[in-house]
Amino acid sequence: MTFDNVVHNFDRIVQATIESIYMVFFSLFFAVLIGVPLGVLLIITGPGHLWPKRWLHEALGMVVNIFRSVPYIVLILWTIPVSRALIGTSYGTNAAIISLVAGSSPFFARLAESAMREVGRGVIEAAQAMGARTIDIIWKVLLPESFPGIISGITVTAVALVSYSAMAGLVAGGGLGAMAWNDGYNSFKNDILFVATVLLIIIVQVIQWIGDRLVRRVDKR
Amino acid sequence: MTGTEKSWREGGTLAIIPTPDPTPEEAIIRFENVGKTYERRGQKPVEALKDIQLSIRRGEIFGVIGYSGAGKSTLIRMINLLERPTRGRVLVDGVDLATLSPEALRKKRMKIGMIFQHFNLLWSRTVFENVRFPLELAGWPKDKAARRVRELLAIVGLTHRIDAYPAQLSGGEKQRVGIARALANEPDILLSDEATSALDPKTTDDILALLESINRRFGITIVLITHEMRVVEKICDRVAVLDGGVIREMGTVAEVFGRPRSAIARKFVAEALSEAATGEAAPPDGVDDAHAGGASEAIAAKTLRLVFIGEVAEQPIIQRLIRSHDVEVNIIRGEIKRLKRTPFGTLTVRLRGREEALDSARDFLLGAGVIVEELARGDARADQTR
Repeated sequence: MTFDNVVHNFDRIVQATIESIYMVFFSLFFAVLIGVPLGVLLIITGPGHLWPKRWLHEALGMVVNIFRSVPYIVLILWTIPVSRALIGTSYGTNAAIISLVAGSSPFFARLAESAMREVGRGVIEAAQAMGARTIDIIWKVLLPESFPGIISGITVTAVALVSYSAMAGLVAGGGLGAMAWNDGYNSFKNDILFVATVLLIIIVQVIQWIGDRLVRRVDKR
Repeated sequence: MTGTEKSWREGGTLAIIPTPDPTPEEAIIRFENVGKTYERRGQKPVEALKDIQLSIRRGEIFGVIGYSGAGKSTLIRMINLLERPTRGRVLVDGVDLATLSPEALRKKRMKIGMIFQHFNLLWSRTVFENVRFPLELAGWPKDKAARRVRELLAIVGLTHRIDAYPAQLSGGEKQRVGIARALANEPDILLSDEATSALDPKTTDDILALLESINRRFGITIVLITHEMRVVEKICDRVAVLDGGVIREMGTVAEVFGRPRSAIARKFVAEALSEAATGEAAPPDGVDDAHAGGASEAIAAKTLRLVFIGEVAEQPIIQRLIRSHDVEVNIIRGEIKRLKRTPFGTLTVRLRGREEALDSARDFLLGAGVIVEELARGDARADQTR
């Protein structure tokens, strides 16, 4: 195998790599922005927790499960009208981000929820005994105490987003996934297919490495 | 219910003087016909507490002893309203917490510290930040809070661990952090939920000594729940014995455990004594009943457990017994403990003599204020074969 095509298309490969990282980064940002509050709500509305609200708890759980059970490739199609309404087009990396956020927020919310479930009832009770409000307990107990778990949840979500973003790019255009498919496989340029794959693997490795280091730094248990 | 208060008489000898329960003015915490029933869907309701009447005096150390499931955890949590009574009311300084607004309840809770069996510290915070936590909740300015934290760490003797994380501390150190945290807002009441149950005996003693000194120095009323007799006898002024959601007995520690009337209190005393008596000597050979019976038809033997509390423990009663009665006294085992300020002795003796002499010896002991319990022959045999 020669890498002539890679050399000729070097600028486009760099461009696609940047697009992939861009998609992962911004969808991760919004997934965390939506997923953390959603995870908090899932936890505190649960039975016997800070703010038990049976119907809300079950409704949120159901919405999250629906989003998680729809295959991602189908979710992409469902979000096309949403992208048109929000950003005026269903094509490009920004359109891809909308479907990525829809797919990863509920996933991350569940990870955040299970991280916060690890915070003992005793600690919450102690905070209540000290006169903490529910909002104090969320900000000063639930979130800081589950921070290592939340960071590793973010890492897992980021890795999942790398592979989802390859699919999203394929439909909406942009990124290494689209490049591998269109310029690589469909154009019989196996070297481009190979290099795009290697780049995706490297992105995943780097994300995992950063995530593990961060968890180790913040975990005081 | 009437209790007795132990106090020092002039000249240093002990006296037991009867005192009534705290008057409403003396009481800082009052339970009025309090009950709690847990209702779970599809399950039979569970009655955790029944008709609790309790007054805790300002400045005392009050213990609630009971086995797990007795309801003590529910009882202590009603004082800061972590548990709501389903019947009756709990008054703290005359205020029923259940009637307060959320904001007023918060303010009130800040004046009631609490420590826990599993410490319940925040893993993500240093010792300093853990102790500062209640001050943050109360809205203290940063520099003032920092000064207060240092002061508290000095009280509990942890200044050198100020920047450590809880995971780096021993159990005893974690509980000291818990105590410092509980004292941060200068509470009037400190609730202790099995605070020494996860600690080894030596550390338990250290923590109990710290609690006692806090009680003395700051006049903080301490309410503690425990399943360990040693905790109660070490530091409590008064004790309630809880079983099946009911207070079976209540009074000063010397009274309740010196003259246990309820089966459950007797069980706690027996446990504490057998715990202390490990390694006891077996009675010497040849003093069993068969031997005594063989020597003379008229000679009999009895094994008695004698409990001496307070003043009684300081008198030469056995010497007087031997002088005034024609009996042989063989001491099988004995020990003296000290409940907070009251000596408390137990003696197991084998008396030999004629039946009438034995009966009159027994009456003499009872008359002198000793608690006499006759051990069955089976018990005596078991003692020997052990």
